[in-house]
Amino acid sequence: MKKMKELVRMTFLTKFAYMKAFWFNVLGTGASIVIYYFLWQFVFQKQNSLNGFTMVQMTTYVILSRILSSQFGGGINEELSQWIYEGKIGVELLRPISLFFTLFAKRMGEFLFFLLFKGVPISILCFLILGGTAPAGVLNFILFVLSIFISIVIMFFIEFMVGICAFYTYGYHGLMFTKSALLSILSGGIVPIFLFPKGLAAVLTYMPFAGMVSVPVNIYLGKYVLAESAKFMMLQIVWALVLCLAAHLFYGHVIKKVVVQGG
Amino acid sequence: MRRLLFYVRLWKGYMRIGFLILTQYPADTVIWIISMLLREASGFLGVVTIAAVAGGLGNWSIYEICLMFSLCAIVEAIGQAFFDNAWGIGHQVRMGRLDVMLVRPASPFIQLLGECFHFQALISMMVYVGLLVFSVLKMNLHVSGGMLLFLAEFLVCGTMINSGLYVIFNSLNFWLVQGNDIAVFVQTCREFAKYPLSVFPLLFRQFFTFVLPFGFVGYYPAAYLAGKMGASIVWQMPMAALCVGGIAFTMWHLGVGSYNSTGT
Repeated sequence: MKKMKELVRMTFLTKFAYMKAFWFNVLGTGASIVIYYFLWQFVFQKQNSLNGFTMVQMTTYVILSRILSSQFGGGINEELSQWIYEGKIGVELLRPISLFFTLFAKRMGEFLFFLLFKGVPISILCFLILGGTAPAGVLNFILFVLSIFISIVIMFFIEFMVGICAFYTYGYHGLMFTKSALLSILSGGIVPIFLFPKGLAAVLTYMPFAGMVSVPVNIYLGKYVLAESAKFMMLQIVWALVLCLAAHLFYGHVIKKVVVQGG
Repeated sequence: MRRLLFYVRLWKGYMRIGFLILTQYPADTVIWIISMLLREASGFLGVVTIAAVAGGLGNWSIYEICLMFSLCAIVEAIGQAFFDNAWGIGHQVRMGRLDVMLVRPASPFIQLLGECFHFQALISMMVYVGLLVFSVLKMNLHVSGGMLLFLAEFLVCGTMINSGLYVIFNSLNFWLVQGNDIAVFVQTCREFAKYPLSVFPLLFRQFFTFVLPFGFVGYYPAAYLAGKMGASIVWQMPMAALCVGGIAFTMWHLGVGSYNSTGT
């Protein structure tokens, strides 16, 4: 636990060093919220509700989903790929704590930083300016927060597997962009999943990606009754475990191949 | 004239190197193509889904939106193929790598661009050209010589505006540490250009016409082709391109002038 705290602190310090860069990142997220807000407003000029969503609820969806999916641009996959690319992975492997632990602690640090300096303030600001609804209930809000925390675990293992692909490829930027674009499409970060064709929507609801944006936001809006919320959160946990296993298997396979150039 | 021939030869050499890199790492080439397509597709998916739900956006039908998107994406693909190293200015400045370029007997800007090509983008561009043809057919537009000429004009001016803006903001790296982040932010703002600007409040429309003229990269040409706008765009677009190009040229030269290496 002490190690964890230290690593989280380290991540915070690194992030603080690039605080100005972070503000531009926040502005970018703000711009994307504005785009989708106006697009949806256009839709709701002609109709009052869409699949049970009112304009206010859609605004809430846009704000929360854009902020949550802005995390896809970051993550530990870039750092991990860089380590592999530059051969620094050698040093990391020699450390007395596991690679998973180090990276997960870093990811937690990144998430807490995101929450503190982007998630909460930008949500409040957007809610005040654009208007949004409060959570459907106290319980909904608690489950919403809980489900976001579970989603970080899912995200972490996906990022880990994407990052480790650098063992096979020469550049990792392509993979990075692929990951962030795919995740934001599949998780409902761009448009709500129910707008996709029926069959696809049904499949996506049960995929791990939905757990990152769609599930928490729908819980927040009270779109799922309690039993459904519980079901989807259980599903999130199951996916987290499955991905954990997959990441460990992949790692075990790949680590035998590791080649670090000297120097 | 001899100078020009020299640059043609140089450029051909750079292209050859770029092509060799491309074939050296086939897996990465495939990943790049997929990633480029996906990056553009995510925004496209958003607007198309929303337009499908609403039955078009304002007076823009779904095919007109496809047309605008494809124009926007083609220009970005050309930029990625030939002008992508504008994004490397920050790195070059901080690493002091510009020293090498400054002592060589060719324009440092050409050398900078020549260092990095992404020909993969030309393959993803084919997809967007397909989309362009598809939406033109669906819109029942009459394909005339004038239209092809306009498209050619758009390719030149659009690329100049799009990549020129990247050069301008990446050149901030000569003076600022945060240059890259500002440039990335500008690129995020470019998202606005993929949607009918008429959806947004007037202030946004003016901003993307006069301050960051991304409107000329998609919205205005598409509006002209769809018959929603007068022919004034035919001379407004080159004007905007010249302005952006001029500022980019000045910024780069001022930047190189104030560059004083890293001391290593």
